[in-house]
Amino acid sequence: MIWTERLILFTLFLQSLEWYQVRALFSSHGIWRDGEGRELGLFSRHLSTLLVGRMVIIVLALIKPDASLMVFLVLSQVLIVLRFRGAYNGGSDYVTTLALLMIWLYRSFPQSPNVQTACLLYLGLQITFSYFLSGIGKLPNSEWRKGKALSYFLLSGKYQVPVIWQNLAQKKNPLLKLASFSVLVFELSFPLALVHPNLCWVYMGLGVIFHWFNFQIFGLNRFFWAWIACYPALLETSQWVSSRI
Amino acid sequence: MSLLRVLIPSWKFFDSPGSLTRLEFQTSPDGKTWSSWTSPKAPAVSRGVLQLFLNPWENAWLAQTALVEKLCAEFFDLNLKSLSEMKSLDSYRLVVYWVRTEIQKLSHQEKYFHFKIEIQNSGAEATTLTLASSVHEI
Repeated sequence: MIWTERLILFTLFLQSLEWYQVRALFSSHGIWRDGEGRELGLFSRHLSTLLVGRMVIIVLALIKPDASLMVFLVLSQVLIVLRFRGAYNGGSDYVTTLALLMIWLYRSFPQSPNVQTACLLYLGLQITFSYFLSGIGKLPNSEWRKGKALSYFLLSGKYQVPVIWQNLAQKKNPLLKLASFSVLVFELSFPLALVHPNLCWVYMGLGVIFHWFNFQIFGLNRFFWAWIACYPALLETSQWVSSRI
Repeated sequence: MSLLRVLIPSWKFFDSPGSLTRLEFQTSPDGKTWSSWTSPKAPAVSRGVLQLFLNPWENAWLAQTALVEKLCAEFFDLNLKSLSEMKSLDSYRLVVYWVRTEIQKLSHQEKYFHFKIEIQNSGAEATTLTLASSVHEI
């Protein structure tokens, strides 16, 4: 959990810096302006200042981890998500917030190994579910079963896909069909990562490649860091589960 | 996002092609002559090492396009007949702010605008539906 904590703090720092760079979007003339049904008081009006404060707190928490610092980070995370009317980047927001909550609980109960183990396992299991349930969700869709789904997403225009990937989809490259099936197999078989730590390492390696491609194709850099940050917790969960099988 | 949603996320990513939304707007200096339809300008795509760490404008773009999807989802959930009926809703106002911000980047001469959202449903029976807004002042 310690490494997940460090990595999630690093992820949070990057996210805060990203929001700071686009602070014009939530200024009084921006898209996500304050006072339109989401009045969150001082926090909202001084979001830029608070983002800077958050980055300072993150650095402090990296130097000296403490539950009270985590409280601020959890609260600020929830408020920022509220400010953006639900979520900013969907899944990566959920993973970051979930991990923060679990780390805060973990830090809040230093004398309760059972609570700490529960936090660790919950995070590890949710990361496993994030792949497995995503795979289950794809199964009813014939485009995924036929191996055509990836081509569709590459050409849909919904994401800013680099031309090289769009050309690949336009030429109906068989590699894309293979990649479509590979994503399905990877996601549906992900619970195997909990069977043995060695298998977990394999799945984490595949996960890094998977998220790297998601970044390269769809630009989802936040997903890359949010999920990778939780891998140490996943490995510990795998060690816990495999020792009891 | 409720706390429950954070603790028990749905974990659905890229599960189905679903529908595609496309936002376009027109501007006018007098409310009579209108420009051609224009789409918001997406940020330049770059996938270097730096963007792996910091990709703020592309993430903002994804969040902005999600606003349009949320507006459409609410439109159908509420079983409405036109976008004008959504004026008081948060999701509608956010899209208005986005369009207004885009126009202000392009020109300071225009006084009015309206926008439309084209919704393309994929699948065997591909259909396109267009939702049009009323006219707004910039």
